[in-house]
Amino acid sequence: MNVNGSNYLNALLQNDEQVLKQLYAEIIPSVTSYIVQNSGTEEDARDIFQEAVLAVFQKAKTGQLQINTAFQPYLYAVCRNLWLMQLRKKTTQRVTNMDDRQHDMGTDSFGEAEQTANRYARQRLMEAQLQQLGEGCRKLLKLSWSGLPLEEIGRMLNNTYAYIRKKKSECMAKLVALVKNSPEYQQLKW
Amino acid sequence: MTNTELFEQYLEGHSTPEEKNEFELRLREDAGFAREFELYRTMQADMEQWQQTETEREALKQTLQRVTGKEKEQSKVIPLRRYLWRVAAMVIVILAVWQIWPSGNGVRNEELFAQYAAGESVSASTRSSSSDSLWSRVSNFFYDKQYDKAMQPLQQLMGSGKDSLSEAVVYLGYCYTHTGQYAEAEKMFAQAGNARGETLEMLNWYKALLYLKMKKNKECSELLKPLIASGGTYSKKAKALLAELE
Repeated sequence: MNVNGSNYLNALLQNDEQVLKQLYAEIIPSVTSYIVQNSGTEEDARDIFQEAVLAVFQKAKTGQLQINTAFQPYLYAVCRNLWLMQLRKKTTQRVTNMDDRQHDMGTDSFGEAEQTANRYARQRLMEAQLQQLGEGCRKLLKLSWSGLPLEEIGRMLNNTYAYIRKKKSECMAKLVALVKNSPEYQQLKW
Repeated sequence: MTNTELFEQYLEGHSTPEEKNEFELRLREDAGFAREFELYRTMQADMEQWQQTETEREALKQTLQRVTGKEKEQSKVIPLRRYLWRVAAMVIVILAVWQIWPSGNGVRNEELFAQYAAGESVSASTRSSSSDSLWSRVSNFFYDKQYDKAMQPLQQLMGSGKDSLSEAVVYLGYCYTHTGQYAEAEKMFAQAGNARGETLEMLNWYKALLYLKMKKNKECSELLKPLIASGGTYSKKAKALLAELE
């Protein structure tokens, strides 16, 4: 079965296990090779593949994903970016293999892959920092991010709009402070 | 007013024209303020999208764990003694399941129910102001997964005989399903039999979940098929669940 780039993207959005298996089989050898040559293991490669697919899924859901190349090199570039971020986080070890001969892609798509990985890493960081907040703040922020207007949230939580707005601002201020104080903050583009 | 309150007010569109002009002037003249606002806006947008894709992302994550073999791997390295104890425990569980349940798919059904019933929220389509606070309480209890507590406001809504009656009946049936009161759940779903449109779809989906929990896989599948064919709100979830059952 020959699966082209847009089919892979659709498979990812439709959670199509069969096509995802094929994508995994196609790309995992090169991802593993890159990661193993850069201080990682085969297990790291599998984790990074998962994270990269989720990162592309998140970007695709914004409706702003533009890939001017085949899907596999694009996904490979997202994997590479995510791995580089992890390396920067845990070690100062130099990345030795930057060989992309198998995955030539235009500058635009490379930039797009970098943005996709960066955006996903931001979301993961915020999600992690959110867990540091109290239950009340977490619930209020999640409700507001789910798209409910603050007036509606106020009614749900038996509070006034003014109180909910003030409380949400306080919770967001705490989250912003936590994110800014985390070591990963400086490594990401905001 | 703090900066975050100002950002919130501006982004929510609650600033007066004067406040809006003042805010935008400050954005142009104060680089630090503009940077802080940009960060706030980015975080807000990122997390809105993150929250709104949660259910789909979790489903994709599970598929990816199967695809990469991570699911199996989690239980791969177990010391021999612990492994033997686990095998013994599993044998006991399997024998118990064999004795108690007519079909051996009980644990799997529970897992599937937990997976597919996750993230269900309340969205009553037509509300009057008098029932609004009751619906808010229901919604809140659903958010906290306190289905036993959601029953009381739902019963009040049913008693009021006003708007969204069939929806209240369906949600009450769903609460009974969660709390293991299957006969009551079936009664409620039968009572909502005249539901139409989206409420009917919701009724069928919740009935399918009830049958799933009751291990009546055949009845569950029969309800899933028309949901898939309708292409409505529950179509994707129904398709995925049917695939798991088959």
